[in-house]
Amino acid sequence: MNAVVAPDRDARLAAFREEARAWLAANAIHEQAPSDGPASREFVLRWQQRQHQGGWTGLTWPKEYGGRALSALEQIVWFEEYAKSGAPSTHDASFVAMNHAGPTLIACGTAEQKEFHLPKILRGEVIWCQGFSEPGAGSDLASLRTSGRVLGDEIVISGQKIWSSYADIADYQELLIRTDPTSSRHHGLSWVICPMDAPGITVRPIRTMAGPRKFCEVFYDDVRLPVANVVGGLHDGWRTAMSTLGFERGTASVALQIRLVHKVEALIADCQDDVLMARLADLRAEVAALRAMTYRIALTNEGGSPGSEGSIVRLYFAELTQRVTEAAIDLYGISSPQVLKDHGWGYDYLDGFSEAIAGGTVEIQKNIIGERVLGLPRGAR
Amino acid sequence: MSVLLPSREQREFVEDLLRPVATLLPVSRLQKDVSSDVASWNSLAELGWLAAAASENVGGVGLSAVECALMSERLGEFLASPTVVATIVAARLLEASQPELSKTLASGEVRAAFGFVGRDELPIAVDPMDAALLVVLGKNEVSIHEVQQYGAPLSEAHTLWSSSLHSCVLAKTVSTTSDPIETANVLVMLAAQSAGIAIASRDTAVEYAKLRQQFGQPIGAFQAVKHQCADMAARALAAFDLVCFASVAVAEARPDASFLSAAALNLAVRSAVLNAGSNIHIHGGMGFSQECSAHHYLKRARVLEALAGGISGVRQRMLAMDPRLAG
Repeated sequence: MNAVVAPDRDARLAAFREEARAWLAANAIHEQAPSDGPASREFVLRWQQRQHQGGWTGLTWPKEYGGRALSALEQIVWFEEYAKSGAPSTHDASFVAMNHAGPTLIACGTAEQKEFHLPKILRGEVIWCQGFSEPGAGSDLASLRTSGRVLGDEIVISGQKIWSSYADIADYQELLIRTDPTSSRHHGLSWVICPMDAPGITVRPIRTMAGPRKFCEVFYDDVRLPVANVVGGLHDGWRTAMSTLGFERGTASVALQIRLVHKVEALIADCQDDVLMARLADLRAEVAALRAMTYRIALTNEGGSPGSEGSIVRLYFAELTQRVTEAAIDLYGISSPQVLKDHGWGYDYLDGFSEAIAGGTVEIQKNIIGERVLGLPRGAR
Repeated sequence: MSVLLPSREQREFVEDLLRPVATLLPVSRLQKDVSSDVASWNSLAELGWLAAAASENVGGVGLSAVECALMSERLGEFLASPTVVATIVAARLLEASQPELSKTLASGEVRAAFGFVGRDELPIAVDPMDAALLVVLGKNEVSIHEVQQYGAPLSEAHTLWSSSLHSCVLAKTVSTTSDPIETANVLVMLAAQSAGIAIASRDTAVEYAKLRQQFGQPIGAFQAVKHQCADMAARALAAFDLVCFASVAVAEARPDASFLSAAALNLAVRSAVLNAGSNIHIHGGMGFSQECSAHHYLKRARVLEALAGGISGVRQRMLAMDPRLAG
């Protein structure tokens, strides 16, 4: 960031904050989204539409696609006020559209793809899901086998994806497939936009250990998509996918991270146990550090993907989320209302196990940090 | 709020200013004499480092809290005696009330050491090098005292803490400040040294993991080692980014400066101890020997933790903060 700041910058930012706070006070929904199914879709789209009408979606997205082209600083201010207002968690069915698909299309999509999809996302008309993992390709994503045969201007897809959250209620999927049958590993893959109503798609929701039936298996039986749905070049999907994961590992979680600050404050306010207090003191410092790291990455990678260093924040966030939810269970006990209630700490604790698995396990993040940030030699996997 | 990070100019300025540190204070110097920074004291003074924080009217350079924190981090990496930072801090704290004394600190004629209150409530000075003043971080204030007399070292410095610890008799109190920004500044300056240890421990561990071969490959290729290095990287970055974030809050005199500096101290102190321990472990048998520098980082990390009030004090300070300043 620049050392020299326009003199009215603080005043404009303060006005922006005031505007955000006032809008949220008048408009924020104070219940959490239903966890799964059509009710979750309806809730998420309605809340997204309301934010869009207020002008609060796509703050950093380009103006021509319905965004406001503001800086990362405004985005941070919005998320701070958003988290303070008690509005619904952003880790809902809108997460992939807002934090994966949208930024990926902005970075790698064609003008047509951007014009068609980005305004729909911002207006709250569509849900997106992710289709990367397969039964045989988890941490080893590059071993994926779902195939796309290129026939003229069509791709014919067959195979299977798994752990695709909200696939049962989604309109589109960011789908990573092998389009060059002679290729191996990360060569010959393509990242395609897959409409979920295409003939040949079957979705089976799977219940998570935390309760909701939110993540899914998706089967593709000769699903035909136009080649024009490829994002970032045919057979060049690995690069696009890494950009997608870069967004997930970096700035996508700003709102969640600020939310964690408030969760730790709630625990401190309720704690009267000296032993637990020591842990909460450390957690208070750790969420402050998470916030400092997030802000630095957001402000120094304005609009871009944060790269390998984002893996450090992703790792820190995953492990910290688990420490916070563990502390909550230890503080309240398993039978307290705070733990048992809908979207209570019990849910957060169980759901927290996914943080160390999804979007690249903590072990994969540590490999990335070791090899790409620290320059350690690659070893056997 | 529109400035949240150190600027590129600030970072480059400090990098330039501190460039001589590697030749002036190589960590290898500690192999000979753990309290030898008195030998390079005049050079530190000539470089203007001791005058960094004090304002120009007492002969200081008048750098902001951000540049001073970045300096302190760098000094921490090279295990500069805490007395260097204590002198920088004291020159600033005394510039208004005792400008003459402040001048002698900024010029290096007079030294100030950091001290802490030991188990028996008596003050302990760290690496005093006959410092005339002792800077002590209290619960809500920072106080500076004249030292009347130092006792013999409490232990043989080269075996226990890589610093000499001395009991001392204090004369009068020269100044006490409970100004939240000035206090936060001292917390950040201490935290920055610890962050420097977390960073240097990470770097030396990673360097060794690339060199040391076992089973036909560098040990850093093994996930068991690589993942420890990744954990060290996360701790070091968290500590450094939070120190920077807090230093900007101090420089801008923001209301959340106290909160962030307390958080920075908590995180940096713990990161330094953990990273220094991992560094020893990754160096294996060599790490356990005195011929390797790894142990100095751990020992200094523990000394800085004591100066910060001990882990219990660090946690209590964190919990005493107003929740409205959390973010």
